[in-house]
Amino acid sequence: MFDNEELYVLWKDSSIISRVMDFIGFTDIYMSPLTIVLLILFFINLLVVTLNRVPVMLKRAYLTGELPSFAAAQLKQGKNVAVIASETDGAGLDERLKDFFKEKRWFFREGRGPATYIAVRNRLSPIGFLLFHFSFFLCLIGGLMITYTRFSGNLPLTEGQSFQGDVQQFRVITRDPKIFKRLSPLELYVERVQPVYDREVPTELVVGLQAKFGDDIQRTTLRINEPLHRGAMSVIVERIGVSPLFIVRGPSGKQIDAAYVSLNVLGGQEDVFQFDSDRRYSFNVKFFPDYVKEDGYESTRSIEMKNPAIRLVVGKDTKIIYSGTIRLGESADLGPFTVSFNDIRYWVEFLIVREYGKIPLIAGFIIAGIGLIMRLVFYQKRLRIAIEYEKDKPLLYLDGRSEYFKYSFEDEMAKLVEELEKFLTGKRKG
Amino acid sequence: MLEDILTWSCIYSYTIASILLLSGFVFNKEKLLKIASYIVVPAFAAHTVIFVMRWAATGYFPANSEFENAITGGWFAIGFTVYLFIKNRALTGVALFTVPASLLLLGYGVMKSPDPLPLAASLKSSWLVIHVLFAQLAFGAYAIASGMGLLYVLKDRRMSRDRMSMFYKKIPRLEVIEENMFRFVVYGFIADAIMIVAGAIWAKDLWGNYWGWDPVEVWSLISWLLYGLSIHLKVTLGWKGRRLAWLMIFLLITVIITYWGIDIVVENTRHIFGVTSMPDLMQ
Repeated sequence: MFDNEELYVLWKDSSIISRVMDFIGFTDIYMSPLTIVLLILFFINLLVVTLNRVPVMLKRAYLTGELPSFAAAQLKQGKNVAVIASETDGAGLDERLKDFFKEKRWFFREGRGPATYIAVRNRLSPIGFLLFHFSFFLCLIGGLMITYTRFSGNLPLTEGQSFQGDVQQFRVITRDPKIFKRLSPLELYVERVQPVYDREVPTELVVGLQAKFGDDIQRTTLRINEPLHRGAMSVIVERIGVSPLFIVRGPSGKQIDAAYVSLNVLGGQEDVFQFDSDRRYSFNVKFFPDYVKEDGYESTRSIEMKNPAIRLVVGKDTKIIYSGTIRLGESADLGPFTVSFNDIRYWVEFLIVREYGKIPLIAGFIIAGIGLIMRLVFYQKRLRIAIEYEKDKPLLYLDGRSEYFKYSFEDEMAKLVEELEKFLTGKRKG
Repeated sequence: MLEDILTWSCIYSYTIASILLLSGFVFNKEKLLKIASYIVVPAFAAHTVIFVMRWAATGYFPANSEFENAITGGWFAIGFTVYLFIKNRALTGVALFTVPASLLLLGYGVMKSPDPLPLAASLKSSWLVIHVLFAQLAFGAYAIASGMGLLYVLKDRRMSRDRMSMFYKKIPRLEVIEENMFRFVVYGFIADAIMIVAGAIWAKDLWGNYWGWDPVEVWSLISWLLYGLSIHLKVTLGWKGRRLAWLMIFLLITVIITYWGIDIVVENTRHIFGVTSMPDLMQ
């Protein structure tokens, strides 16, 4: 569409369409027009189908509509109809049937035709269909609210450092919402950072933190998987690194500059920094938490901070002017000045998130679970029962069917009929 | 030491059982299926001991490495198979699918990392048990559904021929196989849904968002939606028979991609947990 990037940027900055698309987040791959169109079609389809099924499901749950109309003559013709011959004259038979199914927790009603009945197990199961499918809309509302109100940013803080609410302190702001832009007042102070290792595996990360939400100060301990939640705001520990204290001294020994420099070197990678006082110098750092030199090779014995050392390569303009390794308390002589490695602290990067929409989303999850279980675990089983009198002796015809599992219901029904027969005989004898 | 002995006993037992099951089906020998079931049941007992021993030794639900995931995943698949042995002997044939699948899983796990590792900070959450337990339950149920699909297709093919051997006559009716297949799909679908929801809630605490469009998340959603679609195809559109059976066989591929495929192929998934050391520096 565009011949080069400049033309695209020009269009992007001047086009109203581009600005609208950017505003509603369509430039994000999972929010791209194609995805959105597919999602819209999906939800329209879901809405139409679900609404269309509402009357059917209500009827199936016997909440609306008339009871089915049938007669003994119809049931008799069924392939799997069960027959119970009662030796009584039939007086009070319907009551006994009612008692039996009540005991079995089946919904029991008289049918529309004379001497006909229906018994239903898990009558409200079809409502599960409606709950499950409508729960998607709650999830959609929650998801949209989260998408359009979410603020997220990464905030690195070294032990002893504080955050006073200045957004400039964020390393990066990954999501800045177009609406609900204003964040609640938040201040943080990192008291301590303590990683715990077991056999070279980071098994714990403890961060002692003071958090101030408005006027309320809260002292807390954060861990991985244990963030701080306050209303719509979450403070999550994402990763750690080290901040060595470098002190720069001139030829007379006078301190020129000093700073805890937050470096991303804990995973074995190298990082580069510069001092603001003189940006001609660049410092390339490789970090060894438990330094050892064997056969001329530098390495670390473990990832625990037992003997920290830094391999420093200093460049000035395009030349390397120093290359060497300094341990804690040692200095590197760069000619006109020295750089000493005097202290080391951990820094921790927090993910600060503020978003709304949790309640509809979680409600959607719960309702979906309930609906799914209602519909698929407690599926409906229906019995049609008709009584026919033959020489004044009643004959019971039972015809049953189950949702989903027609064949395995045959065994269940045979057992049910056997129990009903025993129940009726027992009652009669009793 | 005991764990090693039991693990290799399981592997050898499942290997022999797989050979017997395959031979039984190829040569129509019911006796071989019976012998296989006699091997699988004690092997499953040993499998259970490994599962419990690992849990007791590490103090966490076994889901911290490929080996532990293989032990747990295989345990559910074989557990469902043994349940079927007891409930309906005629459905022993399902093992033709689940036993070799569990054997491959175990073999892969043993190759990767059998030694117990401390639980990484990212996995220290009560959601781990819920998320992984339901994931493995879903896998076990879907694997059984695929096994039923295979059984259905094999019997259906034999029935279309003139004469059916006694071997296939003893396998339950096609309708019964189909119903059982659907039952396990439903079971897996519910477990899968709980797994996804539990994962989303856990992800909020660990990564700060319920859904991050991570490859594993996307594939788990694809897999769940496809199984949901298969339920709709059966219940609403009346799909049945051979095409439903084939669908169930092929749908398991989506679960395998989600659980194991992504970790092998994709490097930037946030679902790779475990050790963060400094291999370059420690050499």
